[in-house]
Amino acid sequence: MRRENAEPRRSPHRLRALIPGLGHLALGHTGRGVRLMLFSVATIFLVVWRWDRFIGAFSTPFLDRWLASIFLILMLAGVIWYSLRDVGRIQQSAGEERRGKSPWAVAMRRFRENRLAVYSIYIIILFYALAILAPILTPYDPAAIPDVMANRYLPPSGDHLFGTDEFGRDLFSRALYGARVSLSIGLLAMIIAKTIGTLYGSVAAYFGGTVDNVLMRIVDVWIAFPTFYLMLMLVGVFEANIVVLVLILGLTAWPGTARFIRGEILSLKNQAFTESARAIGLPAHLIIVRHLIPSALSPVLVTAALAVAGMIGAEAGLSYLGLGIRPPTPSWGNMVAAGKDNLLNAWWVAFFPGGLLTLTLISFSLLADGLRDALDPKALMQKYV
Amino acid sequence: MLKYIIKRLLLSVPLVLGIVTATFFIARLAPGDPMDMYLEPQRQRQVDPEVIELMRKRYGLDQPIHVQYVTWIKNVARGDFGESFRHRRPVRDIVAEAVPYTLQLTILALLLDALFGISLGIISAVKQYTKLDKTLTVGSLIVYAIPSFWLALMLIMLFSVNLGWFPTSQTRSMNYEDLTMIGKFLDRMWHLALPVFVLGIAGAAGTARYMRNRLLEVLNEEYIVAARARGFRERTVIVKHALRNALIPIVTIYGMSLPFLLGGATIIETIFAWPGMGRLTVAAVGGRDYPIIMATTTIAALLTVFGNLLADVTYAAVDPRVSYDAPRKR
Repeated sequence: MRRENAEPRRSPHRLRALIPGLGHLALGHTGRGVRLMLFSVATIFLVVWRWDRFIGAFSTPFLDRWLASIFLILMLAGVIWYSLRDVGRIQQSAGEERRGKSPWAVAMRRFRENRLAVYSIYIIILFYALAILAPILTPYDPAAIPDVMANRYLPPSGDHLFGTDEFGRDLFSRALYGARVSLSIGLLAMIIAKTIGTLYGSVAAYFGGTVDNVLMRIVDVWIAFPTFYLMLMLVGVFEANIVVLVLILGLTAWPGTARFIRGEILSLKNQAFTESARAIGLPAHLIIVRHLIPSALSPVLVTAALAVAGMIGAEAGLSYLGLGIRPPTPSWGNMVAAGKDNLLNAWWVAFFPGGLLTLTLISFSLLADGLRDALDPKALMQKYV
Repeated sequence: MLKYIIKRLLLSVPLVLGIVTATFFIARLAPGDPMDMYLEPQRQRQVDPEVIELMRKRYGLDQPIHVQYVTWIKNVARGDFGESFRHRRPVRDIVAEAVPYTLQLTILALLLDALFGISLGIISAVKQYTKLDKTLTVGSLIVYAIPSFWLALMLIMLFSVNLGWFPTSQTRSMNYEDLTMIGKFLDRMWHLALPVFVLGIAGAAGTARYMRNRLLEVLNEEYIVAARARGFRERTVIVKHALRNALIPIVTIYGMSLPFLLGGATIIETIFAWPGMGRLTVAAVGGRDYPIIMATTTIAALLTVFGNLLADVTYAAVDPRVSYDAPRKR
């Protein structure tokens, strides 16, 4: 067996792989090795550079600082674990490229070939990491107002990467804290919308008849409202803070998913695997959750990426209009709004937060596009199997 | 055909009723009643309680909720949306003033959308997998993803503030009244340029992608192969055989833009201080002017219903394959 041949060479490389990337370099996987090394060096640099804040976080009562420090530790542990596992895998397959043939493996390969989509996923991960690490990274307190007269409207420079705003607050720090608000609202609202939509749609489709009829008529009414109008109306009714806003966004956006999932499940529910599950007496809720939903889920993945972009965009739009997240809590939307009246003298106030927002939305769209191509079942089995 | 239209109209009656009901109850989800929300606690203390009671009476808020609901339905059926808290005028009049402005903006934006979207989509599909196609496809995806308010601000910064080519906002210049007819028209166009561009280009990006996919689908059909085999020029094949069929679903898309046409664009209208439906809604939400919020939301939702209806009917009229007497397949 191949494995026996690999056995003698195994231990020295494994040891070397404890320093992330070194094992890969020794095995000739230069690109991956260098990337792993750079990543771990950057992480260690961050820990050393911000040692006070890294360690200090554990003596504060603030959850977000704890999270940031724990996230750093996890990043280090993760890169070591990954490089160990990957070196082991490379040795086991002894140079032969393993080509999985499951639909997921094929989809993964197709996705990796789409360079734009891969870059987008890097950008998205980077932005989420920056958001989590904000308490460690930010050079200034995002809310601190220093000597206003001396510090207001400073253009971008080494001290203030994105410049300062009308109160002399550092915009880079605010943009990172704004990322926390905007990115987490987008993700949470998407999860709420997709969960409700999936459950609702599958219940309607599985039970059919009157249940289906009643449930889908409700969806018809809900879907007739243009989403942004509905959000505006709800924002007008409720005082918007972060939690309320997440709920409003999530609860307005689910009917599309419900209608889509219903269609998928309707076509699945009379197939043999569902009938055999019914025949062995599986209760309805288990058939739905274990068999029907997983089969219908991959197109939802595509729309999920788009939905995050939609939610982040909607939150930014509402906050821009002054109806979403309100200052002093920074969100990308209200930061752009803060700069809108001073485009001539202080272009950077509106430019940078909006630029980050734009980059995020574009990345999610490209990601969704890549996922759609990779998961397209029609194209899936042609080229690769 | 007439039978089909009447049937669809009847089917949308419960939907319309549902929309009107939903709007009413969403507006009542908040604690208290709309007057409590309009007069926030701090302001409420300064107002004489008797005055508040009088205002309640004037807007019918002193009635039990089911009476209010029935009144609301009756009034909406007559096209009466009550009176604005803030403007103290019938909502119908305020909306009637906003609609023409919105139409100017949205009609031009849709024209730009169709012009660029359809032509770029066709180019992209005909040159499939070339560099040009890839650039257009990725480019349209990116343009579609850019948040409109940021794009608008950046364009204002560049073309209005720095270069001074276009006005930053408003619908007319200071000297508008002194201009001739042609001058007035040009002045309006000048003010429309930036908002129309922002709205139109985003729409065009979506249309281009859609057009490309539809045309590619049609180009794979057997009758296209047959047309090529018969020796028609490529141009004839694409324009006469493929395009005609590929354009049919596009008709549907434009039928569904009815809510946009009259409902306007909330954020862009606000940025450019354009006094249309969108800005009216945003201002009403900011000022908690419930009668206006309820009116514009209801109108937008009703337009969606009729937009879909319109799309289906035109689809049936344009595409001979759709038979409107047989039961429709979903």
